[in-house]
Amino acid sequence: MEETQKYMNGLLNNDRVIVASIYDSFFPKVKSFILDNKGEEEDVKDVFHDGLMYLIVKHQESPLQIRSFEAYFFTICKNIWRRTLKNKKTRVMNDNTLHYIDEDTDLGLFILEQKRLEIYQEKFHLLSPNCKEVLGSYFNGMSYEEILKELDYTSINTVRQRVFKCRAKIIQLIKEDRRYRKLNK
Amino acid sequence: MSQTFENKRQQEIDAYLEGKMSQDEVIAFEEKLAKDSVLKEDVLLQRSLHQSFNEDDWSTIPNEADNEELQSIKSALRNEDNTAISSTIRSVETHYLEVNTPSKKKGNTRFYMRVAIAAIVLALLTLPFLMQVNTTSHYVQYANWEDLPSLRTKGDTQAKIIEGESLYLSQKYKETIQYLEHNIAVNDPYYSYALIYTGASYFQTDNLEKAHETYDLLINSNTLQSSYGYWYKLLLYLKIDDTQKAKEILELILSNQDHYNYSEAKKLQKELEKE
Repeated sequence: MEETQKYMNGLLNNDRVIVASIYDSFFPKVKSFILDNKGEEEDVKDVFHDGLMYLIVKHQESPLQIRSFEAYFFTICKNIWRRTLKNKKTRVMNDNTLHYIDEDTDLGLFILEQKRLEIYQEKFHLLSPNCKEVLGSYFNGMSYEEILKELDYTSINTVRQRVFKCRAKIIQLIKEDRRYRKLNK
Repeated sequence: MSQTFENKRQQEIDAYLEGKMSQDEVIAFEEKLAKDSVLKEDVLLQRSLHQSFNEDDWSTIPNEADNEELQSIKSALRNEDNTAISSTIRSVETHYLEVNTPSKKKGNTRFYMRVAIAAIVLALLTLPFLMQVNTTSHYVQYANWEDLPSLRTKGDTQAKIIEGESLYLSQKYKETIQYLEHNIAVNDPYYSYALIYTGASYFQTDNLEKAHETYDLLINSNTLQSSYGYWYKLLLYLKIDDTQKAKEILELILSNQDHYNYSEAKKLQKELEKE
């Protein structure tokens, strides 16, 4: 927590020394992740910048409650990169038609998407251990047959019913959340 | 809504999202979506959940000008303070890259290569010595190299990973490394397991440098097994009694309760704090 506070105060106070120490400590890890996942040097710069801007805007809204600055920041960078790859793929599928979006809108949309993801994750953790296991496997693309084998269920129908109930539960929890409703306004 | 109706509705949503509808059925369903806003919301939310929890995908939000939350985030990004911070970040980035990008001149590359080789030689000479004299009680207590995650119970006996696992268990470490590196490619579903066994084999043959490299790959592999990498790196640091590094890794493990061996890590952290 102390480390997070040091970095966040430094960022918010526009402290060059702290920003430089963030680059020294975390840039190599983010760089190797992006280069290993179809990215280039230029991409790393943008992802790192946008990751830091995300932390700033989020912290200004309400102070970040995180245990490890490194782990959280790395997750944010990873998610920005997941989004970039997804958008690249979508563009290829749409015959490369480029719809220009300015940088602030693009980053703004990521911030909304990340906030929504954190609501999903928060609700997921409220589910029973069994629901987490079943839905985790299901959302990760496992078929009912694979879940049946993996989690020792007696029939496909039981798996289907578990997925049905657990999914209904998480959907209910998400829909009831005020922050989620606000995101969709 | 009755249970049967709910079931039928859900089956229809599943078929639509999984692409199992005929073209006519898709057209009919999309007409229904256009009229039924609750159904539409459910379909969008379910698609978004699938995309969000799938590490190889991402769920986007369309750029709509009337989204109040988006407008407020954009104003925050554009305010004077944040614009100044953004410029500082970019300027630090330029400086950082100037200092940290090695020159492409041939002479310099050779120089860096020589330094790297010297460092590796030094590490190879020093590490076995360190390992002989130092086996801390923490290491002995927590090391679980004999109990790596096994895929034998998952029924997929054809997978090449099982062969790697058998080689490791019969203590043929060099063969394990060679076999897994040749047979399990990055896109193999068991790649992350292969990294676990390869790293452990490097450890068993006293090549800590390669073991660290392998576990860094695992951590960055973006898979469900990524957090195993933290645990095995922790063991490597405990083995050479590098408490400072061990504590740093512990912090990372404890940053998320879903990380592998979270409760063991918690216990170890308490023990280290007492010392």
